[in-house]
Amino acid sequence: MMRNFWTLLGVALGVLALLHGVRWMGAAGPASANAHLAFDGVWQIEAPLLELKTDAGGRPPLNPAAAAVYDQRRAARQGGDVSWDPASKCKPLGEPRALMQDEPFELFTSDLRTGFLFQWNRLARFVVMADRHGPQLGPFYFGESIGRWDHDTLVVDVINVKANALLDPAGLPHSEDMHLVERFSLEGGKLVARLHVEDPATYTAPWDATLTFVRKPGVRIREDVCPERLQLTSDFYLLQNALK
Amino acid sequence: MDRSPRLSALLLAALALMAQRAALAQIEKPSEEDIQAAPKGFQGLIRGTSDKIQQSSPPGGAPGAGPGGPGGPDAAKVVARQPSRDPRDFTGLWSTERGGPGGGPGAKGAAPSGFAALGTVTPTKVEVSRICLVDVGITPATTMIYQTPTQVDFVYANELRARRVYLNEKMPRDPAPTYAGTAVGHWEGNTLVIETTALKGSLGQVGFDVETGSFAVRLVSPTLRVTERITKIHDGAQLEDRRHFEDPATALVPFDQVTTYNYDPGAQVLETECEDFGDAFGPGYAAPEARR
Repeated sequence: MMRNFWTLLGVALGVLALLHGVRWMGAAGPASANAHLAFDGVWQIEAPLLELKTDAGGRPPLNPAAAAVYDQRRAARQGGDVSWDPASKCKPLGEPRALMQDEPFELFTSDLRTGFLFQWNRLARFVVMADRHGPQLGPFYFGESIGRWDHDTLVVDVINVKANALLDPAGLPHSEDMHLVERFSLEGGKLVARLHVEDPATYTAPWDATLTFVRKPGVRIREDVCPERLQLTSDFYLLQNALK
Repeated sequence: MDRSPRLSALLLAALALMAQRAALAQIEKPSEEDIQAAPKGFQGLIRGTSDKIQQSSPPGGAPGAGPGGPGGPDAAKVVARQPSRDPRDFTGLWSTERGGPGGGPGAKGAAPSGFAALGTVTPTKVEVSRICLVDVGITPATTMIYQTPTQVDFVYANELRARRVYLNEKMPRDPAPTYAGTAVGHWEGNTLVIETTALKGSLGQVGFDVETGSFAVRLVSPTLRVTERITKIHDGAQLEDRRHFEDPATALVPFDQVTTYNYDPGAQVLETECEDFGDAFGPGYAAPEARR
């Protein structure tokens, strides 16, 4: 009887150990909640970028038609003309351009939604923590983003990004069929975003780029109101004031 | 008595009213180009062929994103988790759109006379940007709350704009007015007490004022002080936000509002960009607000 008890206890402990081991070895998932909290805070791009380059240091592999558009925009910008840029009308910057602004942003993680709160025109972007995209409503400037934790890397999958949300300030184009995967990790105290872009309508091959951000302790996000900063006006109100 | 100046004024006023009506008519009838510029899901709604936002299925799930597969959580059906048991943890998505025990959406106990005392003004050219500000900070709306021991951020779903409250700090002296105001907070038991001042902009929605024949907003004075007391109620299923408005520098009659938020983790938060919609509908940034 006693021997049966010890045998059963041994088997039970063995099963528990096995289950625990399986869970511990689980491939994907958070390593610890505290590790995620380390992402929280104010960040800013380490070195401001005008043009997004691939990890190999070159220009993304644009197809000829897209390259012509890009070159036209770059030339216009060099000549001081940014009228082609939706951001010149305070349209949201979209992803990943919003990260590239030389302005701070807040990053907050949570179980259900991770938030990027940008200083630029007080934009906010939510990443729904889920494994699959839901029904599509977009396209939107920030697209539709889902995120998951792969150990201590935040993996964000972005689809349905509006075509006029350009990929960089120089006007790097994409189509609404673009698929962007962002992998955020902490490396040496910096936040690193590894980008993977697939967009056969615009690029001849998938490409990768990396953005690095530094923590900005003590920096507070100030209120930036783009329409005021750019002194945008509305035809409607101009009409109204003209009639006063 | 020479009546010509008065007649001219009347004629000008009539002309202004007609021009505004014409502009409104333009708002009501978006062109095909405007419709094409709107997000696909909204095009049927704008065209009048549908009374619902149209959804489409994602193209083959999330390629390259990782596990996915059947049975995984879906972005449209985020697991409806229970709110944190911690009475001081407000993190999560809170909605005013559904009623519930302890109060439904909107404000109750408001003193309209006090609110009305804020007065109305017609926006000027410089104030156009206000149209895209949506009363940050005070107006109840579906809200995502993030919090740390030193800071609470409220991100409002109607325009996805953030408001920050810094905890256990003194109110700065003479802060420059901003649309979100300057806000400091502290805990009194399990109640978060927030003081907000140095506001600019408006309370309440922009609307067409028939009497003055103009679009009007309720402006706030930079000396307006709003005290909020936010407490979790009903086992954390709701947040109760009690607000007190007073402005010692003006004739404002102090008044109170109470809003109850429901914990609503599955609420859909859509990108609704005022700048984009205003532009798409022709006459500028006024369009979405003017429709109300």
